[in-house]
Amino acid sequence: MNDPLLSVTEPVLSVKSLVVHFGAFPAVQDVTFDLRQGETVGLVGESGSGKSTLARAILRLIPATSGSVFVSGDNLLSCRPADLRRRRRDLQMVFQDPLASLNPRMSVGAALAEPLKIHEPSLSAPLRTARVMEMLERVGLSPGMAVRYPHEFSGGQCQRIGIARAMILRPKLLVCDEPVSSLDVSIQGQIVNLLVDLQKELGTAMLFISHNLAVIRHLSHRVLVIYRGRLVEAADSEQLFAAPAHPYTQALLAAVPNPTRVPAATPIAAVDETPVAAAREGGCAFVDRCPYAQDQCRLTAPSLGEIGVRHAAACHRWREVVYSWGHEARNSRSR
Amino acid sequence: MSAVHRLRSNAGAALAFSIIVLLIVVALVGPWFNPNNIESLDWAHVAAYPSLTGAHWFGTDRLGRDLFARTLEGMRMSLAVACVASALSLSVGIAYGAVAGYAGGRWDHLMMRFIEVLSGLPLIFFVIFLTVIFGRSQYLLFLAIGAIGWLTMARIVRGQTLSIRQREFIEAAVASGASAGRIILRHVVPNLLGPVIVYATLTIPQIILFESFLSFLGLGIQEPHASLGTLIAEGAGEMEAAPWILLVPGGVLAVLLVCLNIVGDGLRDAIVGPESAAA
Amino acid sequence: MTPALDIENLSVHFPNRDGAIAAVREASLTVLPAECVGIVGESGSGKTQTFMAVMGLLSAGAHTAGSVRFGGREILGLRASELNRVRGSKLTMIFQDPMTSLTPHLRVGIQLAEVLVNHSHMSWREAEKAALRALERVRVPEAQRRLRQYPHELSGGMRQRVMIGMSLLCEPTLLIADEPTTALDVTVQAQIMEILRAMRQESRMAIVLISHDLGLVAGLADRIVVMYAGRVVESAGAADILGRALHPYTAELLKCVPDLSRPRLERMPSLAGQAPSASSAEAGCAFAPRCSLAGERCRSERPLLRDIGGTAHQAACHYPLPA
Repeated sequence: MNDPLLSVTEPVLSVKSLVVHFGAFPAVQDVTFDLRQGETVGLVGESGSGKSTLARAILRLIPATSGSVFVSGDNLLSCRPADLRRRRRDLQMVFQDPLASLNPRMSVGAALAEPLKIHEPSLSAPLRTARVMEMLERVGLSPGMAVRYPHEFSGGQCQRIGIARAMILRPKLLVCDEPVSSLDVSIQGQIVNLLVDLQKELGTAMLFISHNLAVIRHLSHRVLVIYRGRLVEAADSEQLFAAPAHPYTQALLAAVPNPTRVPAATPIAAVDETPVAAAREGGCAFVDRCPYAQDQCRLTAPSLGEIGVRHAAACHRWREVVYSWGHEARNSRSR
Repeated sequence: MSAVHRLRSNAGAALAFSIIVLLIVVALVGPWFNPNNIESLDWAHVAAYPSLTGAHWFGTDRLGRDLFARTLEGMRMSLAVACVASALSLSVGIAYGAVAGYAGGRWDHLMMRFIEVLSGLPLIFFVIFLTVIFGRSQYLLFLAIGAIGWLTMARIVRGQTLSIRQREFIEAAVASGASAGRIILRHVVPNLLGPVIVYATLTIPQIILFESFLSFLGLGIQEPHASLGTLIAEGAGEMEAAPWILLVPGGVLAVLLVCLNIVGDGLRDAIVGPESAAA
Repeated sequence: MTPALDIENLSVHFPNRDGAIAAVREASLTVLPAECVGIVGESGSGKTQTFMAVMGLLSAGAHTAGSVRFGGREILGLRASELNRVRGSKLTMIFQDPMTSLTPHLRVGIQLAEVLVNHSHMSWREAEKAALRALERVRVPEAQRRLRQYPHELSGGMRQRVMIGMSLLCEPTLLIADEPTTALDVTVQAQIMEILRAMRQESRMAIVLISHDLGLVAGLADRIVVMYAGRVVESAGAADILGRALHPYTAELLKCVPDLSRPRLERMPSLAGQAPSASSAEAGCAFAPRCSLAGERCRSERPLLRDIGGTAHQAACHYPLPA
């Protein structure tokens, strides 16, 4: 079987049929994908789509209902707790709120030293300090900042500290949960470029979560689009931006504000709904918001199927969707 | 950190703190300046009026014992009880509450029910019971008061822990592979110290009062030692004839309690500051 | 034409132990009736504090100087009781986090109706009907049901719509929107911007849109004012700023606006360094440390805001960018 999402070489991360239920509410439904060394996969979706839940379930910060998460061959979800803690050195996370993810009572130096104390206890204090200083410089901060406390820094600086803490052990996998969403637009690029640089240097596999496709575009080799807990589209980055095959992807792309392009009458009448929506019996989950919806969409849920080279989409009418996007693009270029 | 700055700049709290420090210093150093000790009976000056020029600065009691010396002794005793009892309730309370709050689920449930059962036991019976078994001693007093104080402390700490546990830096610590013990010690406890210290400061007055009450009943400090409570008990009997026997220790107790309350309030204002300002 | 809002040389500072934190320094700007002005700047640029001063919402201990005229009438320094005559009815503001602006223990319908009962002296029943109409106006689906819900039962985007609805109840002359979409997803952000656009067309309301996102602001604003370190550094029509930014800071901000139609750039554009803190004393131009074009004059002499090249395009720069 030629699954467009599975990679050729041994992946660093292999998620298989992951399901997360909160009571009766299906937050994540049957997600499968791979992540290779040095690769960045962008996971895009709105609030409530399940992307953060997915990230936390992958890192086993919350319990998964079923499925497996293979990291370098071993299933993380069936590890014993002590074993799990040891493995965490290879699975790190950068959080959305930079200040909140740092212990306000711990100096920056102590926060960076802690992962070393946990996973490399044999390291002597001077060596540990040296590694902390080295990491601080690598993320663009001065070593003198090690004695200061998180509330003395700006959002962007706090995020650098968070990244330093995550990367000090050179993890194989880094999960970034909306790391720049709370930063000014003018600062976001600093953090994104830092992540790209670190990845190139250390070969880390990165799962980058965001609701903003503009940011994802800069970082990701491949993009996964998630809606209500299911993957609805998966493609190589440029392919996704050139020919989005799912109406939700198009809605996300159209929503990126662009002053130079006059907002056309977009065909997506996206209706805002409260996040906890009733489970839909049968049919496609997107049907209420979809401008292409037809009867068959209400009856049978489309599955994530291959529609091109390394491109999969879960939509019955993907051909019309791709065509109309190309049509729009051609029209706006000719204007 | 700037919490200290804020405390210092709070004039009322700074003054109150200075007074407390002054009282402590006097309590410790005073005896060297005073030729009398707590036990010696001066038959020449029974129930003598306080006079700063005479032999007894604060006067004497019905037995001719120097009130200044006895008041200082009373202060030492009351403060010692307060410190030891607070330390005991703090350490046990924090450990118990933090573990319960962090563990959550069934353990938390069980541990809290245990505290509720203990809280339901009548205090005085407990103390009387212990006194009957072990005899009257001041160490027993420390233990008894501390053993009771930790209950509320544990509840408070558990509540704080529950809310701290939700914060993102705890999740970050878990993601780093920290063990539960390390998280509780390095991440939870330092962040709840603020409210806990404030609470502890504000319960010291309660502890002193409780000790005074127990001693007043005759269950705590025994002769010839004195605590502010026993002195007040004696003084109450002499109120009409020799009011200073009551007023001196009573006044000192009142000043101590008021200052402790002010410092506690100041501490709360000072500590609550930085995180909310920086957020 | 009397401007809806006229801010002249407004300064806001907060004295503290070491001196003072100058959040806003001699900022001047004007909003004409029915005009939309976008205020753009990074965190700490003073953009929010300027309008907190306008609304009389500065925290205790703030000192203000200068003048703020609303509809020709001076409102800076007014007592709360007098300010409340216009605040909430003709001069309204919505904030970044609607969760903290709405009272958590009151139903949405009551909070909406309360505004009308207080300002327009309607009866409760009339006010509730008006509240329903307001929700429908901002396109809240199932409006009747929403009225009976509590704020925490609504999503972020929905709450923001309720806030917009609430601010429109008394037909305001001016609506100040302070980073209304920063905490929301892009799709919800687009919807909220749509609503603001529709509201503008329906009523003759002026809007001030504050944001750190120039791309977002440019989609709605007629004029754009750029602030840096408490001062206005550039002010011009939206088209002028987009086409020809004069101040290097504005040019840098423009580079950060994503354009998905263009090919992907290797490095995501951003500004190096960070904005100066509000407590730093400045000699010369505050942007000089981050400016690639800074010269000696920039570090010693602070540039004043002046008209450059006509057509009401102002910039505070010694070496404004050429056309």
